[in-house]
Amino acid sequence: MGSRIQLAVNEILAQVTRPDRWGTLALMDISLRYRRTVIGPLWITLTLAATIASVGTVYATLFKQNIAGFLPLFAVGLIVWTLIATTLQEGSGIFVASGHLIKAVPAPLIVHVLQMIARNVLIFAHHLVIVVLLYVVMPWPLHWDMLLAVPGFAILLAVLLGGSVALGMLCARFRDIGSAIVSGLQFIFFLTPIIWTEDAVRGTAFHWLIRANPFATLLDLVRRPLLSLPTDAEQWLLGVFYAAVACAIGLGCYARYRHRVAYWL
Amino acid sequence: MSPAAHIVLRNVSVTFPVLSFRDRSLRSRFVSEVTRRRKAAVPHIISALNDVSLDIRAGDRLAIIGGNGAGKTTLLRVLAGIYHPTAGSVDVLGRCLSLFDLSAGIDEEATGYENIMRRGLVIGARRAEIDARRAEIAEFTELGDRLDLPLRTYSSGMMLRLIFAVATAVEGEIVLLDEWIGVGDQQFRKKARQRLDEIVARAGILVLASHDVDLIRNTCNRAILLQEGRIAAAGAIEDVLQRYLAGTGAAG
Repeated sequence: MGSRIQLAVNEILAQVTRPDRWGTLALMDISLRYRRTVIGPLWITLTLAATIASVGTVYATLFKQNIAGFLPLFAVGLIVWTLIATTLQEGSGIFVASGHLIKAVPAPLIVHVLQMIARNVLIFAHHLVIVVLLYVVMPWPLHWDMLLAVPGFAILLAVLLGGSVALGMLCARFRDIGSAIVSGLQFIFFLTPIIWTEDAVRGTAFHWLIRANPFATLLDLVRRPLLSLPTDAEQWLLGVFYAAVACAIGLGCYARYRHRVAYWL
Repeated sequence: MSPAAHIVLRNVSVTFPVLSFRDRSLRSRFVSEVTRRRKAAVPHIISALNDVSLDIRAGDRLAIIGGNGAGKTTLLRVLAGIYHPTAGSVDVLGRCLSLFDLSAGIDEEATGYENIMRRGLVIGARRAEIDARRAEIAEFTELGDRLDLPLRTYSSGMMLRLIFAVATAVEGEIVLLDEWIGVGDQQFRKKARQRLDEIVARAGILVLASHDVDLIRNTCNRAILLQEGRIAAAGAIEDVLQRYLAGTGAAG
């Protein structure tokens, strides 16, 4: 078993450190989305911006929250959540979607996952325009703490990579899991402090949800630094723990089932 | 090209789970687990290859003969490293060039040049490698300025030209072919034939799955006959072909 894990690790590392294939293909995917439209993926950004502006204003009024306090949290929260949700959703269908390719050309399975994640990160980068705009509009000083968003993002990516591999394999074998994941993500969206804030539930039974919800922690490890808000050590420890768990599960699945996936497609 | 090419298959078996909707659904598993009314439906298992042993050395031109569903494509996929056998071992020495499903990795929305890059990357070539051969591939397609247009504007013949040109641009010591590829109009067909002949001539090993008796006679020097996943006969072309033709004659 040990050598099997070792082989899987070697295979994954060999591909991760060679972005020639998946990086270029992800870039080409993005450039294809610009084809025949003027602003391409920025349409998604624009949709997000519209949601942020409308929902943000309405909710801030409804829940009587201070717009300046709520809007930035909501905006960045939604942007990061979009990355999490699309990646996990596409990740769960990744091997089925690449089935034709997997059965035609021999390649380590991980390249399909890497290409998908790279593509979604590039789209996420488009959305960061909104964060830049927030900084222009709001009178915030830039803060060194913002750099913490980098390790936070690395933790998030590790979780998404491990999660996508595991979910992708599970969904290739059991086809109804894909739909379950879509509804599950919708559920988690409401249980994660995106359209509501931690302050609003402080002291209620709901509060433990934030501490127990991995997505809340992962989200905050990117969101809070981006907004120059402080993060605490407990969150970082939890984040590293979640990343380790997701990677272990993903690696286990990869080591055990990567040679079986072609038969399930 | 390389005398080192070598393929060894030892007792290779491939079994497929045929996953029906029932087996694929987690719900049905859960229900049968919980109710314990009966054992979960035994997944249908097809044995696509059964105890296949092969030793293919440089210089071999191996023909895989057999009826539909005999396991020819499965065997090619095992040789290409797409399927990992459920039992037995496969050792392949040398770079494999698998010339089947040539359209995999092609995107209709992308231009001809972009598709050269896409397909090249997909089959494992490096970016620099593809950039270096771009002009040569473009010239071979004879598509000229059309290569700047998206693939969806191509006629099917033009598309085949492009796909063929990209797929055959890389070299391999081991060439795997699922039926001979014939593409395009008369003039391009000749050119494609020539290119394929060259590739095959340079390759250390050729494995060709085909129904075309004349092609096999002209191209190969060894043959195996697959029947229901087993090697029913192996050896010289004529002997194996005779077995095959006798079999189909009796069946038909």
